[in-house]
Order: sequence, then C-alpha cells, then structure tokens
Amino acid sequence: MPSKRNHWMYGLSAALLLIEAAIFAAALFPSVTPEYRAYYLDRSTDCYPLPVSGAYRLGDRVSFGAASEGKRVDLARCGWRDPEARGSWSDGNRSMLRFAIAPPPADLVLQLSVQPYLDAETPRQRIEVTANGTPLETFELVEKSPAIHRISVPSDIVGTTGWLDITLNYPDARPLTAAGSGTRYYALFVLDVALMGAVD
Amino acid sequence: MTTIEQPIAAAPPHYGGAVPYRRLAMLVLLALAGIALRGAVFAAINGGTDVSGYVHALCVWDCGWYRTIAEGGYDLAPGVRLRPGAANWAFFPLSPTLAALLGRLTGLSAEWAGFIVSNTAAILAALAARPLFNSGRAYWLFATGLLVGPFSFLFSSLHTEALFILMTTLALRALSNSRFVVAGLATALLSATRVTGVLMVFAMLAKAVEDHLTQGGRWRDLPLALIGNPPLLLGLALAPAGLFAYIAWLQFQVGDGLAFVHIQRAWGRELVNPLSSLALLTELQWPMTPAGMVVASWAAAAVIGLVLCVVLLFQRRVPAAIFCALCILVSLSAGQTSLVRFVAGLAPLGWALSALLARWTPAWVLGFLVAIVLDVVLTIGWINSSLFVM
Repeated sequence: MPSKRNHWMYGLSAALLLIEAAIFAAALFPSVTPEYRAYYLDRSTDCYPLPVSGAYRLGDRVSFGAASEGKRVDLARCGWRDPEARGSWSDGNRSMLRFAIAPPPADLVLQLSVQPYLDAETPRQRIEVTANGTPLETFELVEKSPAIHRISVPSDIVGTTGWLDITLNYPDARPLTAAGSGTRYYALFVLDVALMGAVD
Repeated sequence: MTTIEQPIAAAPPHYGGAVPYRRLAMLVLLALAGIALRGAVFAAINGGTDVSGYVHALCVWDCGWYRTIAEGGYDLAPGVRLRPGAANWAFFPLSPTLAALLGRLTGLSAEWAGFIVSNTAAILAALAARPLFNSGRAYWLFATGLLVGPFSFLFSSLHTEALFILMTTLALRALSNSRFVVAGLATALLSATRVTGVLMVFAMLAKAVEDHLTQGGRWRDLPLALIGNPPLLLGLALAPAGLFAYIAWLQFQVGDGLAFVHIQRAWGRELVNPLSSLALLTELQWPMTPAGMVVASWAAAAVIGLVLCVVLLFQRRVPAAIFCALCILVSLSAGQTSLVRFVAGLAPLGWALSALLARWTPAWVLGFLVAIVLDVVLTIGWINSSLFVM
C-alpha cells in the first residue's frame, strides 16, 4: 500500500532528523579540558601543552634543528613551528619546554642559544622566563646575531615532581601575514637548549 | 558542428540485473596492468621487486594518518605523533575502518589491506559508472584514467579517494534514476568517507527540482512537491548519517563532536574566502620558487576543476556539477592545500573530461597515451614524496 509506505518513510525521516539534530546539539557543548578549549575552540592561546615525555639527560645540548627532531619533540610542549635546518622559530606569544629530571641537589642553569626576530618596527624582543609557574627573569635581545643566554633555576622549583616546565613568554612577538598561511607571531629562533648543573 | 554527449538522464536505467562479468574482467585486467606499471616504476627507482616495499612506498603523506586509525583507532587527545598538536580526527573513518576489518580478517598489514580496499573500490567505481556514459569510448577512457591514469597511485593506496569515487558514483547513478533513498544510503557512506561527501544533499535537491520542472511543475509548487516526496525526504535524512555517526562518536570518545574541524588548527588551516585562495594565482612572482609552484599547482587544480564543473553543466549533469563545485569551494575555504588530490577524487570531473575528449578521435587516442604516461611520471613523484599533490 503506497500510503502506508509513505507514512513509514515520513516516520523514519523524522526519526533520523531528530537523532541528527540531537547529535548536533550535543556537539555544540563540548566537554573538554580548559587547555583544549583555550587552544582549539576559543583560540585564546597559541600554546596547547602536549604530553611530551620530557626525556632528557642533564648537561645534553638538544638541537632544535630538523636533524635532531626526535630529541626536540621530547622537550617541545607547545609554541614551536616546524623545525628548520639550524633551529626552530617560536610560534605565538608563548612557548613551553618540559624536562623530566630527578630532584637536583643544587641549582640548575638553563642555557638557550637563540636569535630574536627583529625588524624596523620590532627593535627588541623581551623574553619572560618562568619555571613551574615561578617567574625567573626577563631578558632582552636587541642584536640579530646568535647569542647564548643562561638563566639560573633554583633547585627547590623542581621539587619532587620530576618535571621542570619552562615557559617563555614573548610580549614583543611580531605578527606577520604570509599568503596561504595566515598570521603568525614571530619572536625567537632557538638553536639549542641545555639544562646544566650550576658547576657544569 | 559536433554534438555534446547526451545527459545522464537520457541513459537507460541500469540498476539491478546481472553483474556484467565480461566488463568486470576487463576492468580487473586494467587495474592489474596499472598496478604492474606502477610496480615497474617502483622497481626502476629502487632497483628491486619487493612487493611489500612497493605497497609501503605508495603509503605516504596522509596515508600515515589513515594507518594510525586502521592500526590503533582514533586518538583520545592531541599528541606528538606525526605532527605535534595534531590528532587523527581530521581523517574520516570509512576507509581506514574497512582496511582495519580486512586486516583483522586476513592478518594483512594496514598498508596492504588499504591497498586492496582502495583498488577494489576503484574497480567497482569503474564498473558502476558505465550507465552514466552513453558512449563506450568515453567510458573506457574514464576507466583507464581511473585505473592506469595520472592519480591511480592515489586510488591504489590507503587513502579515501577511491572509496569517495565509488560512493559518489553510486549516489549519482541512483540520482540519475531519481532513486533518492539509494542515493541517500550511498551519501551516508560518502559522508563517512570525507566531510565534503555530505554536500551530495545539494545534488539530491537539485535533482528533485530538475524532476519537478521536467514534469511540468511550477516553481511556486516546488516546496509542496518536495515535502510530498517521501523517498526524497528519507534520502535527505539518510545522507548525513555517516557524518553524524562520526560526530556522535567523537563527542562520546573525545568530548568534542566537532574535533575533526577544531583539530585543523594543528595544520595551520583557517577558514578563508575560497575566492581569495584562487586569487593567489594572480599574485605569483616569476620565476616561481619550488614552494610557489606547489601552491600554484593547488590553485590551478581548483580552477581546472571549476571549469570542468561548467562542462558538466553544459552536459546537463546538473547535480554532479553542483556537487563538484561545492566540494571545490568548500575545500578552498580551508586554503589551497591538497586541492590537486581533492579535485582528482571528484569522479564527475573525469566523466566530463572523458566525454569531451571522446568527441574527437585524435584527442581520445591521445587521452589514453597521456593518462598512461602521467601515471608513470606522477608515480615517480609520489614515491619520492613529491609535495604537489598533497
């Protein structure tokens, strides 16, 4: 009977549309972590902290160039662009590094080999460094040439967590727009990173 | 004066009935010839005949992501695998799920299972496409282009293109006979293959409008005519079922049903005006850098695709033209990246081009030769991980 068949099709169509509407409505209310929401949904940050291993041997200099991608990936939590031959550009207003280390008996030194992004409108780059949420220092770069910068990290900041999370904030990051890739914020080109005992 | 090939609506209905075994056998032979040809290219590059090495060599770029899904399912959170901050949610489930199922049943690796799934889908797509051609000349040129043509390496590895072509063909074949429920079922699978598959709903609507006007209906009666067409409504409701099933799964598993959209940030993709992506062609500087050539090839593929959509309109394949044009424009709204691959996966563009070339015998013969030569040349580029397609 055609009319019965039509009723069946109308009913099934309505049921499907209701289910699909319900799924869509649910998808409008994601249940995610604050970090995920800030980075992927609200886009209020340029940094989504990745669950990297932080595998690191105290004293090693880890190149941020493409050739040693494996070691870099262990430390780079967020805020980094794809590595180039010599190093990696920061991406956005903040970058994070993670070191998995045992509680140190003495203070440590974070060593960064870096070059700033400078141009006529950006004569300096300030770098604010924090460790496990504690501000360490702010340093300023005004020369384009590579420079090594050392920052003291008090041992009590590492504590017993086994993690040392370093955050680099870039208040002077420069927005640049390139065809096909949108706006990117440039601040710091990192050649290599090391964490050393104070006496190294 | 030459005549344009008749529209698909003029083709006799070919649904149901016996399987055309002779044609199937010829298509299988054609597919095997393509596999052998690309295998010979691989052997010439690598100096060996390692068959698994050949299948592995075809599995580059996004194939790596599909392999992660086939081997271990979907990620639960963004991670550092393949690309920091990315997850495999951007890659739709049907193709890797079929590869995973075949792998479970046979013990084959994901790459091998994907190779078999994609080649089978390409053969079935060629088989299913026959009623959409009035001319055997055009049909065999299309089938050759699909199985031994410029992008056959793509339709032969763990990617979505071959399955997308199969489901597009099934949906448009059903639409050609106004079988909206079957078209809806095929579109449900299409929308589980790639997000743009859901755009087939607009082709379904276009076909319904075309039917209404062809039968002498008036525009003012159209809304009631559509509502009074239960198979159309059921087809439209079925069409996005694959997409919504994936959204439901992501919502349940990840907590974000639209994670496949949001994760695009890891690739630096943002929504843009699709036409501004094309405008890039006018801003190119000469001589072009290698990176500029890649971007230019993506944008050029979109332009060629849109031109072929116009050809489809002239061939009175309106639903197919609407579907392809929307797929290209929606893809362009996320930038030009991968447009060559996306355009290559739009089967109706191949139908349009084949029908066009089949009108002149020299062009038709040349079409076969160029297809085969490009299969060799582009396979070399693909195996060497050339950027231009991806």
